[in-house]
Amino acid sequence: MINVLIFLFIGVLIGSFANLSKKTVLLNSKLQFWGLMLLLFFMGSSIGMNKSLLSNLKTIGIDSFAYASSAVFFSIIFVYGTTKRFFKRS
Amino acid sequence: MSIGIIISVCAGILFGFLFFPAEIKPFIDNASGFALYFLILTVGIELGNNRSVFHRLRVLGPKILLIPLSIILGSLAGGLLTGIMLGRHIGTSLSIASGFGWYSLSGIMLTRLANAEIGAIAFLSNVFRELIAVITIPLIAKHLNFLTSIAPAGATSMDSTLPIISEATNSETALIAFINGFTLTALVPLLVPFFLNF
Repeated sequence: MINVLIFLFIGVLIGSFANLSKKTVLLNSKLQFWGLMLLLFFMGSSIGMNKSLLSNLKTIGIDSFAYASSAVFFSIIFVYGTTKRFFKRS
Repeated sequence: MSIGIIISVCAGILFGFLFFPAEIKPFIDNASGFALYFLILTVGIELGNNRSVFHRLRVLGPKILLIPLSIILGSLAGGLLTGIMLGRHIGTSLSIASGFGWYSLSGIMLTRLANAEIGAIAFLSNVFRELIAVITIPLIAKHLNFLTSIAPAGATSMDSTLPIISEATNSETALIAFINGFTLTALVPLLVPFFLNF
Protein backbone atom coordinates (compact mmCIF):
# COMPACT_ATOMS: atom_id res chain seq x y z
CA MET A 1 0.00 0.00 0.00
CA ILE A 2 2.75 2.42 0.99
CA ASN A 3 4.55 1.72 -2.31
CA VAL A 4 1.55 2.95 -4.29
CA LEU A 5 1.65 6.20 -2.33
CA ILE A 6 5.39 6.60 -2.94
CA PHE A 7 5.13 6.05 -6.72
CA LEU A 8 2.15 8.37 -6.99
CA PHE A 9 4.06 11.05 -5.08
CA ILE A 10 7.17 10.67 -7.27
CA GLY A 11 4.94 10.94 -10.36
CA VAL A 12 3.26 14.10 -9.07
CA LEU A 13 6.71 15.62 -8.37
CA ILE A 14 7.91 14.78 -11.90
CA GLY A 15 4.69 16.08 -13.43
CA SER A 16 4.71 19.37 -11.57
CA PHE A 17 8.42 20.27 -11.60
CA ALA A 18 9.74 18.89 -14.89
CA ASN A 19 8.57 21.07 -17.74
CA LEU A 20 6.98 18.35 -19.86
CA SER A 21 6.30 18.94 -23.54
CA LYS A 22 2.95 18.03 -25.07
CA LYS A 23 4.70 15.10 -26.78
CA THR A 24 5.97 13.71 -23.49
CA VAL A 25 2.52 14.00 -21.90
CA LEU A 26 1.03 12.14 -24.86
CA LEU A 27 3.71 9.46 -24.60
CA ASN A 28 2.93 9.19 -20.88
CA SER A 29 -0.74 8.46 -21.57
CA LYS A 30 0.18 5.96 -24.31
CA LEU A 31 2.51 4.14 -21.90
CA GLN A 32 -0.31 4.21 -19.36
CA PHE A 33 -2.65 2.45 -21.76
CA TRP A 34 -0.22 -0.33 -22.74
CA GLY A 35 0.99 -0.75 -19.18
CA LEU A 36 -2.63 -1.17 -18.17
CA MET A 37 -3.21 -3.90 -20.74
CA LEU A 38 -0.12 -5.69 -19.43
CA LEU A 39 -1.29 -5.40 -15.82
CA LEU A 40 -4.71 -6.80 -16.71
CA PHE A 41 -3.08 -9.70 -18.53
CA PHE A 42 -1.07 -10.54 -15.40
CA MET A 43 -4.17 -10.12 -13.25
CA GLY A 44 -6.04 -12.57 -15.49
CA SER A 45 -3.19 -15.08 -15.48
CA SER A 46 -3.01 -15.19 -11.70
CA ILE A 47 -6.74 -16.02 -11.72
CA GLY A 48 -6.19 -18.66 -14.43
CA MET A 49 -3.29 -20.20 -12.52
CA ASN A 50 -5.27 -20.43 -9.27
CA LYS A 51 -6.66 -23.94 -9.73
CA SER A 52 -8.31 -24.10 -6.29
CA LEU A 53 -10.19 -20.88 -7.03
CA LEU A 54 -11.37 -22.30 -10.34
CA SER A 55 -12.54 -25.56 -8.74
CA ASN A 56 -14.42 -23.59 -6.07
CA LEU A 57 -16.13 -21.71 -8.86
CA LYS A 58 -18.70 -24.45 -9.38
CA THR A 59 -19.90 -24.61 -5.79
CA ILE A 60 -19.80 -21.02 -4.59
CA GLY A 61 -19.48 -19.16 -7.88
CA ILE A 62 -23.12 -18.15 -8.25
CA ASP A 63 -23.45 -16.87 -4.67
CA SER A 64 -20.19 -14.96 -5.03
CA PHE A 65 -21.26 -13.44 -8.30
CA ALA A 66 -24.61 -12.42 -6.76
CA TYR A 67 -22.84 -10.63 -3.90
CA ALA A 68 -20.43 -8.90 -6.28
CA SER A 69 -22.97 -7.74 -8.85
CA SER A 70 -25.50 -6.46 -6.31
CA ALA A 71 -22.82 -4.56 -4.35
CA VAL A 72 -21.60 -2.99 -7.59
CA PHE A 73 -25.14 -2.24 -8.79
CA PHE A 74 -26.21 -0.43 -5.61
CA SER A 75 -22.86 1.37 -5.32
CA ILE A 76 -23.43 2.77 -8.81
CA ILE A 77 -27.02 3.84 -7.97
CA PHE A 78 -25.98 5.50 -4.68
CA VAL A 79 -22.95 7.29 -6.11
CA TYR A 80 -24.89 8.41 -9.17
CA GLY A 81 -27.61 9.84 -6.89
CA THR A 82 -24.95 11.60 -4.80
CA THR A 83 -23.28 13.15 -7.84
CA LYS A 84 -26.62 14.37 -9.17
CA ARG A 85 -27.56 15.88 -5.80
CA PHE A 86 -24.22 17.27 -4.54
CA PHE A 87 -21.79 17.51 -7.48
CA LYS A 88 -23.81 19.36 -10.11
CA ARG A 89 -20.77 20.67 -11.97
CA SER A 90 -18.88 17.36 -12.22
CA MET B 1 -10.83 0.74 -24.38
CA SER B 2 -13.36 -1.70 -22.84
CA ILE B 3 -12.62 -4.20 -25.62
CA GLY B 4 -8.90 -4.01 -24.89
CA ILE B 5 -9.57 -4.58 -21.20
CA ILE B 6 -11.76 -7.63 -21.78
CA ILE B 7 -9.28 -9.13 -24.26
CA SER B 8 -6.34 -8.60 -21.88
CA VAL B 9 -8.10 -10.16 -18.88
CA CYS B 10 -9.47 -13.12 -20.87
CA ALA B 11 -6.13 -13.76 -22.59
CA GLY B 12 -4.49 -13.66 -19.16
CA ILE B 13 -6.94 -16.17 -17.67
CA LEU B 14 -6.52 -18.47 -20.69
CA PHE B 15 -2.71 -18.29 -20.67
CA GLY B 16 -2.63 -18.74 -16.90
CA PHE B 17 -4.89 -21.76 -17.09
CA LEU B 18 -3.40 -23.48 -20.13
CA PHE B 19 0.25 -22.53 -20.44
CA PHE B 20 1.78 -21.02 -17.31
CA PRO B 21 3.26 -23.57 -14.88
CA ALA B 22 2.73 -22.96 -11.16
CA GLU B 23 6.46 -22.26 -10.70
CA ILE B 24 6.26 -18.92 -12.50
CA LYS B 25 3.61 -17.58 -10.07
CA PRO B 26 6.23 -15.49 -8.16
CA PHE B 27 7.41 -14.05 -11.48
CA ILE B 28 3.83 -13.12 -12.44
CA ASP B 29 3.31 -11.51 -9.02
CA ASN B 30 6.52 -9.51 -9.38
CA ALA B 31 5.70 -8.51 -12.95
CA SER B 32 2.19 -7.33 -12.08
CA GLY B 33 3.58 -5.41 -9.10
CA PHE B 34 6.09 -3.74 -11.41
CA ALA B 35 3.37 -2.96 -14.00
CA LEU B 36 1.15 -1.49 -11.27
CA TYR B 37 3.87 0.81 -9.87
CA PHE B 38 4.77 1.92 -13.36
CA LEU B 39 1.13 2.78 -14.03
CA ILE B 40 0.73 4.62 -10.75
CA LEU B 41 3.81 6.65 -11.69
CA THR B 42 2.22 7.66 -15.02
CA VAL B 43 -1.02 8.58 -13.20
CA GLY B 44 1.06 10.73 -10.83
CA ILE B 45 2.84 12.47 -13.72
CA GLU B 46 -0.54 13.27 -15.26
CA LEU B 47 -1.82 14.64 -11.95
CA GLY B 48 1.28 16.76 -11.33
CA ASN B 49 1.19 18.12 -14.86
CA ASN B 50 -2.37 19.30 -14.32
CA ARG B 51 -2.13 21.77 -11.45
CA SER B 52 -5.73 22.99 -11.55
CA VAL B 53 -6.76 19.58 -10.20
CA PHE B 54 -5.46 20.33 -6.73
CA HIS B 55 -7.23 23.69 -6.75
CA ARG B 56 -10.53 22.07 -7.73
CA LEU B 57 -10.04 19.52 -4.98
CA ARG B 58 -9.71 22.29 -2.41
CA VAL B 59 -12.94 23.83 -3.70
CA LEU B 60 -14.80 20.53 -3.38
CA GLY B 61 -13.36 19.93 0.11
CA PRO B 62 -14.84 17.33 2.47
CA LYS B 63 -17.76 16.83 0.06
CA ILE B 64 -15.49 14.30 -1.66
CA LEU B 65 -16.05 11.90 1.24
CA LEU B 66 -19.67 11.54 0.12
CA ILE B 67 -18.35 9.27 -2.65
CA PRO B 68 -16.85 6.57 -0.35
CA LEU B 69 -19.87 6.96 1.96
CA SER B 70 -22.24 6.26 -0.95
CA ILE B 71 -20.14 3.24 -1.99
CA ILE B 72 -20.26 1.87 1.56
CA LEU B 73 -24.05 2.28 1.77
CA GLY B 74 -24.53 0.89 -1.75
CA SER B 75 -22.31 -2.15 -1.11
CA LEU B 76 -24.06 -2.90 2.19
CA ALA B 77 -27.49 -2.55 0.55
CA GLY B 78 -26.38 -5.00 -2.14
CA GLY B 79 -24.95 -7.42 0.43
CA LEU B 80 -28.10 -7.25 2.56
CA LEU B 81 -30.42 -7.91 -0.37
CA THR B 82 -28.32 -10.79 -1.71
CA GLY B 83 -28.09 -12.28 1.80
CA ILE B 84 -31.87 -12.24 2.13
CA MET B 85 -32.35 -13.72 -1.35
CA LEU B 86 -29.81 -16.51 -0.80
CA GLY B 87 -31.03 -17.18 2.74
CA ARG B 88 -27.58 -16.49 4.18
CA HIS B 89 -26.82 -14.92 7.56
CA ILE B 90 -27.27 -11.13 7.33
CA GLY B 91 -24.16 -10.17 9.32
CA THR B 92 -22.00 -12.49 7.23
CA SER B 93 -23.47 -11.04 4.05
CA LEU B 94 -22.67 -7.50 5.19
CA SER B 95 -19.11 -8.62 6.04
CA ILE B 96 -18.64 -10.09 2.57
CA ALA B 97 -19.92 -6.85 1.02
CA SER B 98 -17.52 -4.83 3.24
CA GLY B 99 -14.55 -6.22 1.31
CA PHE B 100 -15.20 -3.46 -1.27
CA GLY B 101 -13.13 -5.45 -3.80
CA TRP B 102 -10.09 -6.03 -1.57
CA TYR B 103 -10.26 -9.79 -2.02
CA SER B 104 -7.01 -10.86 -0.41
CA LEU B 105 -7.70 -9.23 2.94
CA SER B 106 -11.45 -9.91 3.18
CA GLY B 107 -10.91 -13.51 2.08
CA ILE B 108 -8.21 -14.14 4.68
CA MET B 109 -10.09 -12.33 7.47
CA LEU B 110 -13.34 -14.22 6.93
CA THR B 111 -11.58 -17.58 6.59
CA ARG B 112 -10.19 -16.96 10.06
CA LEU B 113 -13.18 -15.22 11.68
CA ALA B 114 -15.96 -17.29 10.10
CA ASN B 115 -15.04 -20.42 8.10
CA ALA B 116 -13.37 -21.57 4.88
CA GLU B 117 -16.57 -21.41 2.81
CA ILE B 118 -17.39 -17.83 3.84
CA GLY B 119 -13.75 -16.90 3.29
CA ALA B 120 -13.84 -18.39 -0.20
CA ILE B 121 -17.08 -16.55 -1.01
CA ALA B 122 -15.60 -13.28 0.27
CA PHE B 123 -12.48 -13.87 -1.80
CA LEU B 124 -14.31 -14.86 -4.96
CA SER B 125 -17.03 -12.20 -4.75
CA ASN B 126 -14.40 -9.50 -4.33
CA VAL B 127 -12.42 -10.91 -7.27
CA PHE B 128 -15.66 -10.68 -9.25
CA ARG B 129 -16.15 -7.12 -8.02
CA GLU B 130 -12.75 -6.15 -9.36
CA LEU B 131 -13.45 -7.86 -12.70
CA ILE B 132 -16.88 -6.20 -13.01
CA ALA B 133 -15.21 -2.87 -12.16
CA VAL B 134 -12.55 -3.34 -14.81
CA ILE B 135 -15.22 -3.90 -17.46
CA THR B 136 -17.83 -1.34 -16.32
CA ILE B 137 -15.63 1.67 -15.41
CA PRO B 138 -15.16 2.87 -19.03
CA LEU B 139 -18.86 2.29 -19.78
CA ILE B 140 -20.04 4.24 -16.72
CA ALA B 141 -17.61 7.08 -17.45
CA LYS B 142 -19.03 7.31 -20.95
CA HIS B 143 -22.74 6.92 -20.26
CA LEU B 144 -23.38 8.18 -16.68
CA ASN B 145 -20.66 10.48 -15.35
CA PHE B 146 -16.99 10.44 -14.36
CA LEU B 147 -17.44 10.29 -10.57
CA THR B 148 -19.89 7.38 -10.78
CA SER B 149 -17.21 5.32 -12.55
CA ILE B 150 -15.44 5.11 -9.15
CA ALA B 151 -18.44 3.25 -7.67
CA PRO B 152 -17.77 -0.33 -8.87
CA ALA B 153 -14.06 -0.09 -8.02
CA GLY B 154 -14.56 0.35 -4.27
CA ALA B 155 -11.29 -0.01 -2.37
CA THR B 156 -9.39 -0.95 -5.54
CA SER B 157 -9.73 2.62 -6.85
CA MET B 158 -6.43 3.49 -5.13
CA ASP B 159 -4.37 0.85 -6.94
CA SER B 160 -5.42 -1.83 -9.44
CA THR B 161 -8.34 0.03 -11.04
CA LEU B 162 -6.91 3.55 -10.62
CA PRO B 163 -5.17 3.44 -14.03
CA ILE B 164 -8.46 2.44 -15.69
CA ILE B 165 -10.34 5.29 -14.02
CA SER B 166 -7.53 7.65 -14.99
CA GLU B 167 -7.67 6.48 -18.63
CA ALA B 168 -11.45 6.66 -18.84
CA THR B 169 -11.95 10.02 -17.05
CA ASN B 170 -9.70 12.97 -16.10
CA SER B 171 -7.02 13.85 -13.54
CA GLU B 172 -9.51 15.30 -11.07
CA THR B 173 -11.58 12.11 -11.01
CA ALA B 174 -8.39 10.04 -10.71
CA LEU B 175 -7.36 12.00 -7.62
CA ILE B 176 -10.82 11.64 -6.05
CA ALA B 177 -10.67 7.91 -6.93
CA PHE B 178 -7.38 7.63 -5.08
CA ILE B 179 -8.80 9.35 -1.97
CA ASN B 180 -11.88 7.12 -2.21
CA GLY B 181 -9.79 3.94 -2.45
CA PHE B 182 -7.60 5.03 0.43
CA THR B 183 -10.63 5.71 2.66
CA LEU B 184 -12.33 2.40 1.83
CA THR B 185 -9.09 0.42 2.17
CA ALA B 186 -8.66 1.81 5.67
CA LEU B 187 -12.23 0.78 6.57
CA VAL B 188 -12.16 -2.83 5.28
CA PRO B 189 -10.28 -4.27 8.32
CA LEU B 190 -12.73 -2.49 10.64
CA LEU B 191 -16.05 -3.18 8.91
CA VAL B 192 -15.50 -6.86 8.00
CA PRO B 193 -15.27 -8.05 11.65
CA PHE B 194 -17.79 -5.42 12.83
CA PHE B 195 -20.68 -6.75 10.71
CA LEU B 196 -19.87 -10.39 11.32
CA ASN B 197 -21.35 -10.15 14.83
CA PHE B 198 -24.68 -8.73 13.66
